Amino acid sequence: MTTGFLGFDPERLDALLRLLDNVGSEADRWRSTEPAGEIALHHLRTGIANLLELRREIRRVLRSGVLQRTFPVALLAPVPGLALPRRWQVATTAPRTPSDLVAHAEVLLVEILARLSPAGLRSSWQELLEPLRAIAAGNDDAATALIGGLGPDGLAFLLERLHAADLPGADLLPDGGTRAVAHAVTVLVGRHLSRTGIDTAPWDAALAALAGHVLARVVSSAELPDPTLARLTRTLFERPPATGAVTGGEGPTDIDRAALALSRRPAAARAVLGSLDAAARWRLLAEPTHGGIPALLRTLADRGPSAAPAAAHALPQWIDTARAAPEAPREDNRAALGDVFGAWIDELVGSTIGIGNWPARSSAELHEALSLVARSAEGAHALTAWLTAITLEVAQRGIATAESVGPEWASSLRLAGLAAEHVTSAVVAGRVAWATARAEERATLVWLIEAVVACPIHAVTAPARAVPGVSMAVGWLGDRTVEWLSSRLAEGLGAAPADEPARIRAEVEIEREVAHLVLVSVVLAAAGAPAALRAAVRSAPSRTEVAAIAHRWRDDPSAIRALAALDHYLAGWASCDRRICR
Amino acid sequence: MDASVDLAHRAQLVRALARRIDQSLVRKVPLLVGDDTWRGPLAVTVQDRLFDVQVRLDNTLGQLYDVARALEAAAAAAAVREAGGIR
Repeated sequence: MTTGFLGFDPERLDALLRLLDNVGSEADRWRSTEPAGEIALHHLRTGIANLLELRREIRRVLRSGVLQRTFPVALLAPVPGLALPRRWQVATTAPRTPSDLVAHAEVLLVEILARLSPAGLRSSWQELLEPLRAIAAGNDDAATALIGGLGPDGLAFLLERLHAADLPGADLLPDGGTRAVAHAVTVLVGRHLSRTGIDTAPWDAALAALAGHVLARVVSSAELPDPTLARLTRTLFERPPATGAVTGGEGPTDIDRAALALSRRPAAARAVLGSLDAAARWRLLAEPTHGGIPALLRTLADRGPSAAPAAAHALPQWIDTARAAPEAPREDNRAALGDVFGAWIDELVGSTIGIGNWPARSSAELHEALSLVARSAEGAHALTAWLTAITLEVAQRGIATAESVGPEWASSLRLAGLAAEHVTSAVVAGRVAWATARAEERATLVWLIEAVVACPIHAVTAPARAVPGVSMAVGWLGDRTVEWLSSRLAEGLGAAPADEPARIRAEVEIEREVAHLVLVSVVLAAAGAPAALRAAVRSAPSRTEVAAIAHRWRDDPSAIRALAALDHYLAGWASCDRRICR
Repeated sequence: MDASVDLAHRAQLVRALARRIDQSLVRKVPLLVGDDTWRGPLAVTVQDRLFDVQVRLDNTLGQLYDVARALEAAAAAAAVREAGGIR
């Protein structure tokens, strides 16, 4: 469908129509007695009649609504210094995308630019400078007028041009137009798009197209309030521009820049992170980043009264997305998620927050999530830090020996038990340096596993697994976990190459002892050993000392079952040693 | 009335009509339908139609001036005859 006009000067077009109105009546008044005059007047009236038909067509076009929107042509100046007629409007049919409009306008401009002298552009641009100055000064009405006059396409185009800095005279605006842009977008989001019943889809497309530009330059000057910033970034994350705006290459993308900007405003960041749909979440996780997306994700770990509930709501979604994303998350994004996870679950310790959505999830899901987190060094360290913290809490609260725990601890300890396997795996893989860990961190695993196994939670989570002896340890951690602990730890920590210096081999041997002592504690706790026996074993420096302690307890009736389990385990230990030695 | 005077008067009327037409509002329309006013398919149509009208008017004016010149020539010849011919 043609618009009839591509562009026009409204004042001159109005003058043309008024002129045509008078042309006909003027010719009607004329008479001639000369035959030649009669003939001439006939030709004149015939020609005028043709023109008046077109006058009707022009009016029909103007009335028909074909001209859905017009744009000051100065907005469309693609090249600095080019002059365009003052007052010109560019007409377009609706709906049109910004790219349609640009193509449309470019056709027009190519046609007219060749005919224009460079004299008038500055004056036409001056017409826009005044309202933009008013907007930059915080004039909401001026911003509303501009938004209403331009519509989504026009506003997006204007803002892009401003940020491309190719509009002559933009340097005359405060901050080169940044402040005007910020205020216009703020008014757009806060006043216009917040109205009920408005169709926001066209604006979303426009906002997504320009959000990268706006956020990259505006947010650093803190011009956007939180709701505006949140709306822009959410729109960008959920509707990234198909082409053009993403810079690609070596530099940060628009999405990464927007994420960095948003990360500086934690409250808005958490609101956005908690409201993104699954597609946007996996897109962000798979996005190449120069630090923006990890910074954004880490806002979920911020402390504060409002932070933890937001994280409890959002983080499980992000973990799930990272597990199920069609594309693998980028390593730095995943590492950030691991840090967040560690910091977040740290918040759970000693708090009444509980564990959010996790209790409803299956152990298999939690295992996958923890595996994802522990796969990176940052995530593994975060988990270790949390396990240390929770173990200290366990010790302080006496949960290791207490018979009752609250529901929030039930969830936390359940998660801790699952996390222990992954942390230990990270230790063996070298992502957490067991050999260089602090003493309390080494002790963490002992405390943790013992506490978890001793805790009656296992009776809740695995009520059918009431098995005696060594297998009791399996009751909570599972056969696979215990076997893994006994074999993988021994293999990982015991396989010191023969050509290593003696000091290293000695350290490795000590680590093997520590690893096995962890399991001794597990076994004793699982078998219901008296607390005094477990405390004594926990402080034993070697298996020789463990054997000595066991010998001292052999006549104590309360320790009979535990000592039997210990014998069973020590036999397995020896077997494992022989296997490793081969 | 002498024929020469009558012919001259008629020539003046024709020239006056030609001038009026040449200075009519329709001759000012081209000043407002150019690229300074609009661009687009309808604008092109109007410009094309107006060009045809102006060409037709130019031809008409040319014919009027031809008629006026013919009348003036006839008036001059009549005046000679009325004065007794060429001596």
